[in-house]
Amino acid sequence: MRGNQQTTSLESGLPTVGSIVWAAGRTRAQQAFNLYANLDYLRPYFDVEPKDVIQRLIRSLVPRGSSREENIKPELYGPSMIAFTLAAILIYQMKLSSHSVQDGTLIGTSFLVCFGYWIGSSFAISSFSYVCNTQLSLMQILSINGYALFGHCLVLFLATFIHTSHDHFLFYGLWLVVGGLAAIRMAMVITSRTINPQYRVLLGLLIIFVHMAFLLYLHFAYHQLAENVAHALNNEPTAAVKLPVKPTISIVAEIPSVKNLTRQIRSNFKNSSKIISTTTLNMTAKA
Amino acid sequence: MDTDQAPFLTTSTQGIDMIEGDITLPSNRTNSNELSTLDEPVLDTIKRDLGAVFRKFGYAVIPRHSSTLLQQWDLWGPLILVTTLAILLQSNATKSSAGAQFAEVFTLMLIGSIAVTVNSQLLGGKISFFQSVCVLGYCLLPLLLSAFVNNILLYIPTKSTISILHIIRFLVVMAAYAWTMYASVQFLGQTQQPNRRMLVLYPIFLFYFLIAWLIILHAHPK
Repeated sequence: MRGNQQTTSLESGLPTVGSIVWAAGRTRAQQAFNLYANLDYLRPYFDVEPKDVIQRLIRSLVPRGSSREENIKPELYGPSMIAFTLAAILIYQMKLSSHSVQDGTLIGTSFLVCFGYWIGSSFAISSFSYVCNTQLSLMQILSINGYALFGHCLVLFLATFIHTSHDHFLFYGLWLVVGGLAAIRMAMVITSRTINPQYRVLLGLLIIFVHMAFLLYLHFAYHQLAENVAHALNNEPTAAVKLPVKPTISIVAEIPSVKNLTRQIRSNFKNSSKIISTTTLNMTAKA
Repeated sequence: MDTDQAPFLTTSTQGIDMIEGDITLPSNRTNSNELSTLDEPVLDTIKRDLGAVFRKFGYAVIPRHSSTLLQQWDLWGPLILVTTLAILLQSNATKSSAGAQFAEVFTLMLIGSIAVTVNSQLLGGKISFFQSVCVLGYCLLPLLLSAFVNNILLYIPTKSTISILHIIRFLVVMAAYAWTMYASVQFLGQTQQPNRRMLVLYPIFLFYFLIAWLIILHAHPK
């Protein structure tokens, strides 16, 4: 075959060494690709009915451990949809606060944060649980962790759309209640599969800490600014409104009011940091 | 030389009939389809492709049962719609972030299509990436029209923060969102078993919901 490349040498009509190497490399790469990057490997994890998904979503907020004999069937549909929803909520909040990202787009950042947290923390928890001799596989932990993110979605969604004068209390209340329930459920499921009681306590504390800390991070990195913009420029502390911050984005462009805005944001931040330090002190005192 | 031309096995019988003929077939339409469109005049190509694009827009606006969007997919419609939407959603931006803002809608479209394709394939459907880009892009037309209406309505000055105007904008965009969802359900919902339809439709719902909120949140720089 006369192709563009010199596949056969001119003298003997045999294929050149280069073309043999290229063909062999290509078939090897294709075989490796078909073996490892095949979507079919994930297919059994998406075999789920809608009512199962809803049932698992509700159960992720009920703090009940699972017995050792009960087989948790890992599924990845629910967790990936929850991660997409969380990314969508973050994009919405970043748009509300006109958060500008210099490197990379807004959307890329939020997807990276959500999926990175889900997969990264699952790997971390699964390595710790391997060390602590827990009988859970990586896929099961991925699925449990993903469903626990449903609590995060709920908290951020409610805190974004309900604006009252006591927004801080609302958020921290939701953080404790919903986030706490989801964290306790995840901790109980994972620790019920661990035998050693000291490892149980350690693993439980680690899971609860990671879960709650991520929600706090999401609040301060993405949600706080939107909240402050809404409060500072609306000047209506008790307005429970449907579309809270549409006019604020246009007003931000006006230069004279930006100084007042930054002053107010700074004062709000100082107040909130005081609240955080007192709440963390209270939490550590109780624990 | 003579030995080469002698037959390998000599037989006395002549039982095998020699089959002769031409290997080249006379060119009929189906074989030379690809070649013939290269030779046609440019105006014919443009008319044909534009006709296909407008017909698909028609399917997106008035959804009816047809497999044209899926089987003869093309990416012109999505390109035009997404570019127009990205231009409409430009807001007050500095020089460095203007490019990133324009790319946001494209990135959203890309990630949305990948998510819908992978989800649909893993749940047992048979849809390819370009088919889902085509359907998601064409079904954006009602949302694009609502973005136009949104931008026009924003020019009307309003004093209070929540006025009847904002409510009208919200309702217009939500109506367009419902229309878009109905259209894409007609095309993409058919590729699934009936009891798992909700699982396939949720990412599409999320994608269009996000775009609808981006349109609602868009306000003119003053």
